[in-house]
Amino acid sequence: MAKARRSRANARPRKRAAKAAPVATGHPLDDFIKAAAHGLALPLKPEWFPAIAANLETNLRLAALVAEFGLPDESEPAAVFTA
Amino acid sequence: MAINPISATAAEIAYAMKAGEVCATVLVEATLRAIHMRDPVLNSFTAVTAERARARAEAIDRDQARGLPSGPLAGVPFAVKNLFDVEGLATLAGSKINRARAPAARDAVVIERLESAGAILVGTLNMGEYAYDFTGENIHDGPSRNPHDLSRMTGGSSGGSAAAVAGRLVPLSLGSDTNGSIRVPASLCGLFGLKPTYGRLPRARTFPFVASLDHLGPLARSTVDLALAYDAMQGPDPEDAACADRPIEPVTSLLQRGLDGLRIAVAGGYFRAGASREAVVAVDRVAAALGVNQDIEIPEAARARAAAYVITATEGAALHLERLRKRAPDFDPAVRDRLIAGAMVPAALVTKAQIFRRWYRARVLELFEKVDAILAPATPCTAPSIGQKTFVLDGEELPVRANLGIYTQPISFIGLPVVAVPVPLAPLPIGVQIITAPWREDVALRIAYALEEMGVAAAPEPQPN
Repeated sequence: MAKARRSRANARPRKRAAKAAPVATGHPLDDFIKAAAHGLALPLKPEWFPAIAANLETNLRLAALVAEFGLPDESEPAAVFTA
Repeated sequence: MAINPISATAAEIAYAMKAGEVCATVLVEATLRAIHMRDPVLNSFTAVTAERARARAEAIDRDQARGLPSGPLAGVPFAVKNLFDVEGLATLAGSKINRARAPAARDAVVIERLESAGAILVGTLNMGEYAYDFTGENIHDGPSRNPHDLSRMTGGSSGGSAAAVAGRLVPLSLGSDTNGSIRVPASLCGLFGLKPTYGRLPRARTFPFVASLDHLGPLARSTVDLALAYDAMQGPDPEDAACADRPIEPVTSLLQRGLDGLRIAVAGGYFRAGASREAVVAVDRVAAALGVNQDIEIPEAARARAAAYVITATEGAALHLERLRKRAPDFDPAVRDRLIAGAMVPAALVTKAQIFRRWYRARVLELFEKVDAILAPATPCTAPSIGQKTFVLDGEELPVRANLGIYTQPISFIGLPVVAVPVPLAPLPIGVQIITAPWREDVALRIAYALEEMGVAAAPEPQPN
């Protein structure tokens, strides 16, 4: 009983994630896209996968180019919140 | 009439108005006729605000008749990219989805400021969907067409803003520039375009794309026209959180100060790699005219472009996330797929891009201790064909839509002011960026004016249609 109460207390309202589309292209990022779409509640059509994968691959390649650039841990991001 | 209302610049129109040589109603009628006759080919307008323009022109003429002073843009017809709020119109931002929005209750701040200076809004202009575009192609409204070759792209996303001015429908338009969306179409259509410092012009009541990168600015056929419009739009605005609390710093009266004392260099390395012969010729021609003989390296420009790309994809995705959930099929597929991919980039990588951004800004600002302005190509090539999906840059085949802005992105990434000047090569023009330190639009505009006076920069006549 206590377990059931705790379970309800921990339950958070969340949108029902869209049912992910079947993997369509065999691209290495397909599983990631499928999982991310589920987590973001984005309904994807199978025919969109190749273009999304190509764009995501570009994003990640360019992000890696930036991320590999060594900067001190103390470096602040450009967007700094000011109270 | 002393001027031709179709080919006259904004400055010529305002001068003729002040001299009483022309009236605003005649100017507006001539403009509406030109739009009616020629825009079916150029496809630059998505709405023509004819009745509003006529009413405004009549009011200006009444004021003139009563001897009231005319504004610096008196009688100048202008049009705006359709992401600017215009009272009574839904703000489309190039999309199908936004057509269901309620009509805007009030004009964008910069429209109000231009009209306070005497200008007359005549309509809204075609653009790439949600400004995520460098081509000027719009799946819902059709592509805007390059007035110098109708089979070619205008560039984007402010494609209609460029086609309308280059095609001699209006002397002045407004666009927005997140990664190059003023400078790219200015380059491909042979126009002068100003992307001011980030935070200089207020963006209130415009539809955003990437809040930390969005800028507004004018496109015109002369430097003076850019300066007149820019001066009229300056000033703080509490409704735009990013708009700087700086006094107005007018530039029009400074244009003729010349080049004395200005230190100018050409951006090397990244800004030469991948450039077509035309892009190199244009920069070299401008550099030669200015007597520039030094190159300068903008450090890590490729990484800056990459970081701008990542921040754009992710901030843009955040803006549109709910629409992607509910209305994904109503997007242009090319935009939708990029936004969805942007939503999937891990936050750690976005933060890395923002950390790099601060580092890069500091390094580039150091360059401005040595030089006052840097020259770089605005686009890697002249206008590609409408519908062309890829081109070859530096030996690599790349998508046109994402890569026309490779030379503009590293600059707007840190909000530097830029004037794109047109170099009238045959058969197609191409632009050169004049990049200066933050808040030094005056220097970039002075150099642009000098190049125009030398005949090196000029907006070429469009192809007759």
